[in-house]
Amino acid sequence: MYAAITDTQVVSLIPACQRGDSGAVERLYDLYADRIYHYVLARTGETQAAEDLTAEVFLRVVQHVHHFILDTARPSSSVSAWLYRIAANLVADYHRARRRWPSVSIEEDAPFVSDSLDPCQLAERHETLERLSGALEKLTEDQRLVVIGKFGEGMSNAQVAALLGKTEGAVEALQHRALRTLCRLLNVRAR
Amino acid sequence: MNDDELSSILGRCLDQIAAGETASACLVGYPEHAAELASLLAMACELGTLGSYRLSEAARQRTRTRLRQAEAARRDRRTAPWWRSGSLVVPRAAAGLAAALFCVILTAGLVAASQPGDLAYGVRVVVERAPALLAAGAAGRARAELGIASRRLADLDRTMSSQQQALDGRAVSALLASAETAAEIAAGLPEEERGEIAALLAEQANALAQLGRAARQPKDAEALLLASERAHRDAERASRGVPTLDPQPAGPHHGPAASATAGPHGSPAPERTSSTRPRATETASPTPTHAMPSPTRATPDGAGRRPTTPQSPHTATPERRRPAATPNGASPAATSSGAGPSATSPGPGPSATPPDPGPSATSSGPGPNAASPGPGQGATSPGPGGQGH
Repeated sequence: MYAAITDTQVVSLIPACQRGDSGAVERLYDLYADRIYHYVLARTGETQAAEDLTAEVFLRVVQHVHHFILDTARPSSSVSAWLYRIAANLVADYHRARRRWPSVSIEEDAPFVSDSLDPCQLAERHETLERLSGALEKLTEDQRLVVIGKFGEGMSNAQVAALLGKTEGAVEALQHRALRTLCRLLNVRAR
Repeated sequence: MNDDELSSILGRCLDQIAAGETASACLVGYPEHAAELASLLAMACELGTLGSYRLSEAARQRTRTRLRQAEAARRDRRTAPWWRSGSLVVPRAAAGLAAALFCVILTAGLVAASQPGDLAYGVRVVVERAPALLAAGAAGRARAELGIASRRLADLDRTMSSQQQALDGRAVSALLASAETAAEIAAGLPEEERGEIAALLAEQANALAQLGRAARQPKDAEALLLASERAHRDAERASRGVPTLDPQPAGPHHGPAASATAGPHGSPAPERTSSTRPRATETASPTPTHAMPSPTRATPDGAGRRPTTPQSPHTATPERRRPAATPNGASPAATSSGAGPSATSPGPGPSATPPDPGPSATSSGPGPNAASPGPGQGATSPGPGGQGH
């Protein structure tokens, strides 16, 4: 579970980034990197691709931060929405490229070089991740953000609601629909 | 129970699990939804595996380094001059500007060098009217129009001398339009200036007549002679200070330009039916008794046959047939050879009242004849080719 990102943090960081303060950019990265990483990982199902795309998101931030207009009414939400939008675009590009030039990721060898888990466990994890990411792609963007925020990043309903600019009731409804769709897609039944 | 309630129950169960309770313990409170809730909670637990993935520290370090480099590069770009900044905006803009300039120069060159018969000639004709629109004062504008008419005359001269090209209707239209405008403007000028302009118009009319006589194609000859006749009428108007000779303004299809010029590119293609008269005859002055001897144009074969007005598709109707002679029977009498316009014979005729364009004032010349089949009888407008002023 990550600490909530406050409006105060964002309000001081974004203008510093726009002035070209590299320290501010790194602080912004530290704040959002894990969230973006989980989002990208959930959508690609590949850890290496998720790392690369997360880095790319923040490189785009450096390039375009001077065009970004901070919503002073809800600063952290506007920054989050901007970052997730960049990430979503990059993921879409990634999937498009994969469809055009299908390739086998060298990541498939990764489980066998890991020290922490035995190969069977790693293979199982990898398979689960692939199944989840495939099913998550079928959700709407709001449902995906709710699910990833809640279960990937351990955010509370209030945090997700603030991120999406929705009420907590709406987040609960989105969560319910998303889980129901995923159960149907993955054929999950109570154990 | 509706979806909203189930959503709330699911939310409560998830909160309880997050607080450390087991799924089974949560389901005890909602036995009627236990089955559905169980699968939803199982799905939620499976999704929890996403949270077990962490961005590696190596990846974080790599990204931080790349961010620092990107930020430094951006700072350099902002402070460096554009040619070193790597930005393509200025070079692209410059290239676009250069390309646009090249296109403009090329187009201007093509237009300026265009000759009658060329595609761009129509543009040249329009563009060259600019000085007339910008000229200061009525006299200046009249002279500018005359200058334009001279250019068109020179174009026609070149075309006819080359013997290879057909007559371009646009040149004739533009010439007549300029001559008519000059005559209209001249009508409001003092007599001395009017006389000068009328003399120049007459010169142009004579030049047109000469070109017509020298033309090889009979239809070209006819068109030029008709245009000459019209120019003589304009000269006459200028000399007398009459803004218009025709009390009934003609529509765009009635003017001599329309009938003397078949199309924008082609040479005029008059229908050589001696008995068929154009609308011009019908819109002629209602004072046929003022008719002067109508000029009989010398045709290239020297037969002295009166040229018929070229008919546009809009004006050629079978019922508009003209009697063989004008009411006073004078029409076929005069010839135009060597005859000047009214500027050279300004003596007023018996019925030379200013608003009446009766041609008696020019009875000694081949000037406009209200009752004659002259091409401009019904037209104060130069036709489609000369509407631009």
